[in-house]
Amino acid sequence: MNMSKKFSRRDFLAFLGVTGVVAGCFSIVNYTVQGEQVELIRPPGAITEEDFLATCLRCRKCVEVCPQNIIKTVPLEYGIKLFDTPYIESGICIADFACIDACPSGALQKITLEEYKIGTVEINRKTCIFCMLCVSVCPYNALDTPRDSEGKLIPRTPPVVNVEKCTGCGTCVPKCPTKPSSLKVTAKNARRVKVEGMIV
Amino acid sequence: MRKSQLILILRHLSQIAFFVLLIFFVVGVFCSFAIWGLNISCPVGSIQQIFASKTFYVVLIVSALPLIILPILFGRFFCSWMCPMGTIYEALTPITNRIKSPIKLPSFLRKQSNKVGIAFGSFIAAGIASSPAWCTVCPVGAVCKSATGCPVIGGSVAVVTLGLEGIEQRTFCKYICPIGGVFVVLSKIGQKFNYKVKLPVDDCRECRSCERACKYGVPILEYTRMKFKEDPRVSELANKMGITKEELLRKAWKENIPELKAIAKDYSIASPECAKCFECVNACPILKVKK
Repeated sequence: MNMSKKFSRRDFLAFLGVTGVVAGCFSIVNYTVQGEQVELIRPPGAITEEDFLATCLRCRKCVEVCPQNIIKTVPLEYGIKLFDTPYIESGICIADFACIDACPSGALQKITLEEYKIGTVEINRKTCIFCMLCVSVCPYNALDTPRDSEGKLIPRTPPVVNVEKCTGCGTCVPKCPTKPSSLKVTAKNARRVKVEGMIV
Repeated sequence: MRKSQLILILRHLSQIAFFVLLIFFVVGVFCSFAIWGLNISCPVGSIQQIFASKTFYVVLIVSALPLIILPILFGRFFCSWMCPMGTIYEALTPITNRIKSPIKLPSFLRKQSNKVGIAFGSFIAAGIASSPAWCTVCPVGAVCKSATGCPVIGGSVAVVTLGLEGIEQRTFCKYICPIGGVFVVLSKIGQKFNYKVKLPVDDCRECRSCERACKYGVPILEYTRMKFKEDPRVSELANKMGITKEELLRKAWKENIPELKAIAKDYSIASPECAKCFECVNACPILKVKK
């Protein structure tokens, strides 16, 4: 193409056409190619899901800095909008917030340890063997031995999860002696940061 | 060693350094990386993010500034000095130089304004769909991310662009890449004062070696020699010396005419598409002889 020729009206229309086609295609693909609806465990400090998908740059900085290597990126099966965003499938989050410090986009906001909650642990009552090992390892004292009103131990009952205290860090999951583990961390009750307007 | 060769070696070193750094060492990828404590983010990704999230995150905007200010001052230098995709293409040139493709891309695809269109289109799409639309298909990001598992779509797009390289060199960079598109727009903004590559305009014999060496499709002579020939000062000078313009220009091949040199200084490759790769300077036979 000869660039020394003036940018004609025809060229400008072609440019607008390309802009329109690209904008249309990308937005249609984003709305139509959607995978199964799942609630994923996001790294600590993640903002509300809709804002998170809009804000995350998909730069994988959090994946690279995670000292535990537990942050993974979402595969294509979950839809194009979620594709390549960070999530935690399994593993122990030690809450040193390296991911938050690394995040350039504001998708992970600065939080304190009190605000930290990426999910809640759930106990499978069918496979639990009532060994209470998980109670002893929980760093947040979120798991309690089942006791009645008089403080007596109730036999043959799985531990009680304190939803307020549990952060979903996953320390208890590998400690469970059953195979597969009776404990599972889900994204339920995760504390997500709400943002509005300009973030400084 | 000639100056142009030294610049070429420096450029290749910079390419290799950034390729290795971005993929293996630096935390993050080209989309956003930290180097000596300085955060640098991809301008296309950052603008899309602003459109998608409808918020202004000051940290992100500040980190996008280096790659917005530098192209205003130095044009599209990123493409030939830092871009990992460009490094791969350049490493493949010994092979792609030999391929004579029977197919040619249709003319509507061979428009350099297309990449700007794709950039603006993805900004709009990001605003509509509230997610960075281009980033999911971006092959540059995919190559950088490959150390922690290559994303499927971006990786396949990267392979497709390598195939396009067989049809026409730097097809992706010239017509598709929205990152290049944004850089071209930025370099157009700073056209009055930004850095431009200079060629010996007064000695030029229009052999077009520079145009053949240019991978980014810049019609170099249109910007330099052709404009120089039409400069009224040249014909004025010819009148003053009592010879025709053609004779004066031919005279300049053999003799040093300082007045003509002074006029020639005003001419450089003022195209915003120029990636400052110095391949044209290296290819120029006049410079090879003159040193």
